[in-house]
Amino acid sequence: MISGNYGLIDGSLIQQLRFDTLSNNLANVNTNGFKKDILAFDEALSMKILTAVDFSPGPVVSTGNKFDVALNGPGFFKIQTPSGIKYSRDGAFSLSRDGMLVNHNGDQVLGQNGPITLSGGDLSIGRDGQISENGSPGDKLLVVDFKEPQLLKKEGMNYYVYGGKEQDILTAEKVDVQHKYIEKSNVNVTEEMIRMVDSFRAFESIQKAIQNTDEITSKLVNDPELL
Amino acid sequence: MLRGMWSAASGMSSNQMMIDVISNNLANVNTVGFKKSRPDFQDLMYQTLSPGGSRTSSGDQIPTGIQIGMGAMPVGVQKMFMQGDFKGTQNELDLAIEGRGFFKVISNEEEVYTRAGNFKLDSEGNICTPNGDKLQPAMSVPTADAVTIKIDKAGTVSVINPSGQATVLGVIELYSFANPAGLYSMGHNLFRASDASGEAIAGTPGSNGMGTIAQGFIEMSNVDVVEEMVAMIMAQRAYEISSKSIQTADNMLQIANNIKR
Repeated sequence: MISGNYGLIDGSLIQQLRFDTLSNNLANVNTNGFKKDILAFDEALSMKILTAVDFSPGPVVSTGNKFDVALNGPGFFKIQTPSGIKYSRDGAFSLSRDGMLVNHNGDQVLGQNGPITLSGGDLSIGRDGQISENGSPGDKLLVVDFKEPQLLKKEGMNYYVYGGKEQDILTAEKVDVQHKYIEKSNVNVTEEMIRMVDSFRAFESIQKAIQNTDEITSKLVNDPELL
Repeated sequence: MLRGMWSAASGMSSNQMMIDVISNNLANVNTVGFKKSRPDFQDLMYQTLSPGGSRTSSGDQIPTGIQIGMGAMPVGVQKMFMQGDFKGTQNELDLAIEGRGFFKVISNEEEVYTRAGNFKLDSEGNICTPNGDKLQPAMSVPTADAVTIKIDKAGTVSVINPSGQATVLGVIELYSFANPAGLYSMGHNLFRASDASGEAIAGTPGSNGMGTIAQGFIEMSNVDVVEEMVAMIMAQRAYEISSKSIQTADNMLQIANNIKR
């Protein structure tokens, strides 16, 4: 048969993956601390496509809630989960019944000295992550950075795991913590919609091309003059 | 079928829930002592089609693999216990809590908690909520004389009879929780302690970080209409966007189906 068809099938599968990625980004337009995925094409590698996370900052909005924390600039919160250490940019925290600072999954947010215990009093968090309650300073929020952030893998539930070396996980030196603020999703709707239209049309063109090759094949098979 | 279609469906249902929460907040914009809720979302799991860090045939390391997300889900609807505005009413049984704490009342023989301080007197002189749930510790105001009720910042309730004699009836206690956001909302402005909130901790108003009581004031709803309207626009548009993803997926499938004529 005509070998061109196989390339076209590849092309439409890629457009489908692209659509899946865009659709997921758009579904997470209201997810706190969400970072959009991009489907990239890399001709240099034998593997032609890959997804990468775009870590550009999302808008930081004021909430007035004393357990909300946003990270201005790079860095991740370190979270202790039952399945090990994970990282997150979602700073919508709350207090557990035993007085621990936890996130929405009930997992403990880590400070410089481990899990953070709070009494439930007047909470203030400085720009450097220093936590004070009723005016007396306690632990400091632990914000980490990575030598190779591209090795962060998304886990769902707003979590990332780091696939690189342990020594490449660094405690962030310069942090800018905003208390009573939250970082929203960095998905830009207009951009994603344009990409979706683009992906859709590319998919359509490929299908047209498949039809064309089909017509040519049909002509070759059925035209008596070519016999 | 296309994964993106399911991601979009999850986006639509998440945003639908957001509209539900916002609508309830807006409906309670004039409810005394109402605390607004906020929905928070998370991304769902990721399907890893090719893991990052694997080696190509030429020995290069692929920095990132292919991970396709599966959409969004609501992870929590959290009550936001920020202070509401105070409204002066001159009514002697309107009590507002300035700061932390809840009143305890007995509703259906169960101990429950509220921030709504628009109390009334029942026919026996008990201080109760508009639903008739009695304030704890129970206090009954003598009904024989026309008395004035005086409640100070620390919660001490006294009655002053027509001849100017004051009698102390008792002290209103306030109750706080380690994690008020974890309280179970029962409706009727009432909250029940839950595993997430922890046990109620009793205290006198003004002590140990507990709030104080302001007589003649009520705490209004803490819903900010402008903020809710902005959130509603965001939720509606996000809903619309995800519906567009589904339409796109539908069109793509239609095109694929039309290859074979």
